[in-house]
Amino acid sequence: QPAVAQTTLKLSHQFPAATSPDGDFRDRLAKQFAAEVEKRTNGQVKITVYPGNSLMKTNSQFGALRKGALDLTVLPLAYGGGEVPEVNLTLMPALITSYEQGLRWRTSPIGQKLERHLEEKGMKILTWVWQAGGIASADKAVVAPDDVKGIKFRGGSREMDVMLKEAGAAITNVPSNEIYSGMQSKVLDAALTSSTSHISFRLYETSKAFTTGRDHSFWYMFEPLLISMSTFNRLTPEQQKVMVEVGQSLEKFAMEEAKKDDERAAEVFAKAGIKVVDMDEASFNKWRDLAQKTAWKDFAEKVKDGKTWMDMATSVK
Amino acid sequence: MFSLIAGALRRFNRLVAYLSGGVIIVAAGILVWQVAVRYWLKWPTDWEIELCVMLLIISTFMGAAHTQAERGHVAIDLLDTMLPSRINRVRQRLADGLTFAFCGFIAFNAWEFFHEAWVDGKTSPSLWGPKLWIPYFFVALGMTTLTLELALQSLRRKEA
Amino acid sequence: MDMLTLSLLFATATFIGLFSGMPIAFALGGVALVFMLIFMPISSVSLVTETIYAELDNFTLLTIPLFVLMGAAIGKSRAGEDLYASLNRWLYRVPGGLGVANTLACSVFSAMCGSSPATCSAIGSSGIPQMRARGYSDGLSTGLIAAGGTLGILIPPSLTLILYGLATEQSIGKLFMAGVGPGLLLTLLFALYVMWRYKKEKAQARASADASGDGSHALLQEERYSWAERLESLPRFAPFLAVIAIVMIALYGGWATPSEVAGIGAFFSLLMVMAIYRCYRWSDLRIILNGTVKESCMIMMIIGMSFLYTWVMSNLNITQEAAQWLVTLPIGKWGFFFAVCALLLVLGFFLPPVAIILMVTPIILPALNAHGFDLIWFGVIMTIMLEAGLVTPPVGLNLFVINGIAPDVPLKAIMKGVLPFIWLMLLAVLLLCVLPGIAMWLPNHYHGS
Ligand code: NA
Ligand code: NA
Repeated sequence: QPAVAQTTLKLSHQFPAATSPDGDFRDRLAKQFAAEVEKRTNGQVKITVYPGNSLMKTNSQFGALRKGALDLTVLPLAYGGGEVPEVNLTLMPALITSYEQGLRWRTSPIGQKLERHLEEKGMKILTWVWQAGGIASADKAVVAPDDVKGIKFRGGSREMDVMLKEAGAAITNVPSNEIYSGMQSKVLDAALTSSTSHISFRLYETSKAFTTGRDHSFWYMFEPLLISMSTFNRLTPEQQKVMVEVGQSLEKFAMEEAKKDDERAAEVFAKAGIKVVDMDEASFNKWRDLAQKTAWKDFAEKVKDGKTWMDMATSVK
Repeated sequence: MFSLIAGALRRFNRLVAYLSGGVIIVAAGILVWQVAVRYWLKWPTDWEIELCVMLLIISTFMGAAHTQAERGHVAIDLLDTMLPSRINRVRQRLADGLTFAFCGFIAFNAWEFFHEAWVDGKTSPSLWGPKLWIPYFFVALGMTTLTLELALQSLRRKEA
Repeated sequence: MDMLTLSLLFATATFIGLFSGMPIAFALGGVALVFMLIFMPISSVSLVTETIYAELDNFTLLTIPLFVLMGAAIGKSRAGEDLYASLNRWLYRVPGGLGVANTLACSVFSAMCGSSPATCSAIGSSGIPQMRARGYSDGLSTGLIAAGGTLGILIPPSLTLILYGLATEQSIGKLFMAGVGPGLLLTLLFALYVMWRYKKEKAQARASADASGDGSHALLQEERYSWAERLESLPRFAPFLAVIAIVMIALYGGWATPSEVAGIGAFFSLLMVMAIYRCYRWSDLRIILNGTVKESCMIMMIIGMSFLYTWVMSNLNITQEAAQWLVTLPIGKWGFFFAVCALLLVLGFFLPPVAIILMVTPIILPALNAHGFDLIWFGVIMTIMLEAGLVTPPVGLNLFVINGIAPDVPLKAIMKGVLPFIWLMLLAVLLLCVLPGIAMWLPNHYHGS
């Protein structure tokens, strides 16, 4: 394959464009990556960032990346669960307990297995990004599994839904752009998503209570910065090296911003006059017990080698 | 022989179009069901919307050939009255050919798309998780019957 | 190749494709495919079907076939005729009463759904044939519905305002409230225009009747209804009011999301038509089914292919660079405002509202902030400019929807008929600049307190 000296790459993501210094950090991550790569390659590699689905739809990004029709993305990896079921592990309830533990995946056998598997499927992880989430509810706060009985709940992903359904929630499948109006019109009682998205989707305008993602959260989502393997292979070894190094250098930025958003979400909801609660350890443990019996089991049984993946993931302390 | 095949294709397409209309009605019924059971019985509604979306996409593609047969795909007809009829005839031939080529390409592309989903066993990432080759199959089939209908129409235009 | 050349090439190819006589859906797709083959990596080609599918895989969008079914059930059965006959008994004295009723119907329907083609189709299916039957010119009756349908994205709920709110971090609740006043203003402007235009058409018909001695023009048929006849027609409104009531309760009573309302509306309209107008025989049903499939397939194909077109355009970065260039121009606050409106209008010729919002908003947002524009107010302005795009050639979805409903009216007549309404939209933008309170009064008084 001919290595190209000068190239322009496209980075697409679904998050709102950050138009201020405290805008959506996932867009800022993408833009910083682009700027740093351009600088360190002396302008050889230029990256155009397309925020907010302005290049392609959320659900097309995974497939496009695999085929090399998209160069880069910041993507909740579990969105590819229909094509590569193993990635459901990266949005598994109560599996990750802290940002630090999540980042230790990269140097653990599970992380290396995941990286290898993704490279076989045509993509490569450049920045490891985890994000905690919370629960906005239209009525009383959702803290322990008992709180979800009979409420109309949007879990938003397969394994979360498996667990919430068992807890007695009436799983309600609405598209993410309808969470707002769904909560407003009481079609939805509660919704689970990342702290950042809680702010971006302005759910504090339509909810009464908010369970934060700081301290304890059963919802940690992996949304890495990814590059298509076919794009990566087209780059010169030096350019590849820059990509990998810049990607890794942004890991700390992403973690700090994600943590900041957990706090900021709590502040924004409190300021809007909404009851803000943190999840206590006892409640988290109840979720974890429930998750083990439901979502973890579902994954171990349904996915090829699921048991191995699960064991490797739980062995990261 | 030609008119026999043509007639059969037309009848098949019309039948499929009525079924596609029925599918839209079914989708409406499912939504009423979803709203009712969620409101009164607090049942989980985790598959209804996804199924409806699939049904409506299937209906869109499966109705395409019949819509074309009745010239239902709107075209801009501004030049029809402005150009001399000889030039118009050439223009229409060309338009027919390009339309046929484009739809043929999409049909071919759609079969590849279906084949990939079939081989990889792709499913939707939701809890319900239906196999995706099913809707993709109808997309490919719909585009194929549409392409055949277009071929038929341009052959007929040539004869006329 | 520089961006300007590429843009002009793309625009030229679009015009050639569309005016070649190819169906619009396939012309758009074809132009996209050709540019994809020339300017994009070859791997993109393997994603063509996937892109179309992924974009259609969106429930909000797929409410359109359901609303089309609703329109067809009423418009292609005796129900629509009956409704308009009853309406006419009450409105025959008002000049252009039926046209005004259609304008109001578009407005009310817009409050139920966030989609413009859906509004067009649901109201137009009975509205257009009924107006034409009573002598309204082809241009007036089709132009009115094409324009009235655009209110779907201004009067809440509105899909475009939601996307704008997410992109600009503005309260969606406030945006919705800000859309109400301008929505009513446009309804009023449209209705006044219809009344004026009706009088003019009637005077013309009278003049030509006097000249030729043939007074058979439908506009000149004097109708007269007694109060007894009017009251007798009242029960005929009941089934329609019942359907509207069910939909409104479901929407505003916390039963259903705006998208789900499409299903409820379609289901109960069909049920009503079958039960009350006895359209349960195959001979009746097949007409409804055939109409629904043809129209919804036509609209959805255009939408699906226009996504392919949008994808290629976004990939070529044309829209984004144009917006970026505009932001750097040293033209002052109102110069910038004028330039943005012009850009929105030009982009509206080619792209659907949702795509424009996604591509343009993030780029012009910093400049909007720097010039101190109220972002809620601007959201409304932007929506009105995008409404105009729905009825301008070459790509104007509402025009095509109307063309599908009334295939015997040439597209040229529809475009000519809709032109005055575009001027009224621009007038509304002007009024909003002079009197921002039209949009801002409601959100400032009733929100967040
Ligand atoms: Na609306
Ligand atoms: Na347009």
